[in-house]
Amino acid sequence: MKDHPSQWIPSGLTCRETAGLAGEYLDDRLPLLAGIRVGLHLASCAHCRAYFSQIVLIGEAARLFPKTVPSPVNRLRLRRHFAAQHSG
Amino acid sequence: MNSVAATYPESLEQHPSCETPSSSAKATALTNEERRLIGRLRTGDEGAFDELVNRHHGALVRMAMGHVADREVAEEVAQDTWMAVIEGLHRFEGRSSLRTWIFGILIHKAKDRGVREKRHTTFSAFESCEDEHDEAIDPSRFRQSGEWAGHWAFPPQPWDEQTPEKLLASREAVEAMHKAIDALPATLKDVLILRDIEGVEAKEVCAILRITETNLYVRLHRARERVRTAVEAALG
Repeated sequence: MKDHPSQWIPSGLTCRETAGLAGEYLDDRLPLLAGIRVGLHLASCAHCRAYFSQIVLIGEAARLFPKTVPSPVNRLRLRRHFAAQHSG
Repeated sequence: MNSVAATYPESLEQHPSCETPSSSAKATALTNEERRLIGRLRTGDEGAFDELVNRHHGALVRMAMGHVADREVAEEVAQDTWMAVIEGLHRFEGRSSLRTWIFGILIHKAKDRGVREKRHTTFSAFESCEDEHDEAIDPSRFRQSGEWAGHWAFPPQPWDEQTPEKLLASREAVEAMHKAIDALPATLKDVLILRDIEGVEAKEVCAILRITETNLYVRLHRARERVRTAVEAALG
């Protein structure tokens, strides 16, 4: 499929509008017709496909960030407090 | 100190700002996993508590940082939140998810601490309004006129071959992501942390932050675009 603008499938959406709907589209939260229009636009626009895939990629990478845990001192305080709540 | 845990409402039904209270109530029901975890916590299982802390502590600190002056204070707010969770656990009725309840306590405490520090918080009408109306993507990246107005003038270049793992292996990209996230105003940071870093479902994010779904996606779009732009610049 050609990605030159002249080959775009008329979705009624500009790239700017399509990009603005990325979050809802990726979460499947758009009304049916709007979702179809975004899908049509993506099918023929490599730039918006790149944009959407970058949004997805960043989200996936963010989810892999190393976990931060409390300092040993704070952890100990929490454990003691937790234990105290359950003793007697 | 920890009365917040007792008073923080578990149910969404009290929040008219949510667009779909009935569906939200469904979204905040306890999962089987959470039910089991709560059971273990109530019997005093320290391993269960460690598990809970390990799962959410980083996001709590990061969210708190949007409301208070520095990381040290944010750590204190997170610690206070855990203390409140410990003390309030026996009163938790499960009308919201455990996570919604914990993050609700954190936001309440962070906001309170931020106000006490006399900083501008994210809840001012001005900042909220500014967030809603600013452009997410730099308008100059789109054609301004002509037949293709509104279409890309300077499109994003494809990140071929990139995977989340490869992206995280790039020190520049990771630094750019962290820097961009840390620089976000709290309203945007909260949604990004909950939705993208913690992986919380959209409806639950709305419940935690007491915002509408429309508002959520506006904020999410702006937050993600700032991070994407930062990574784009780092990757050259």
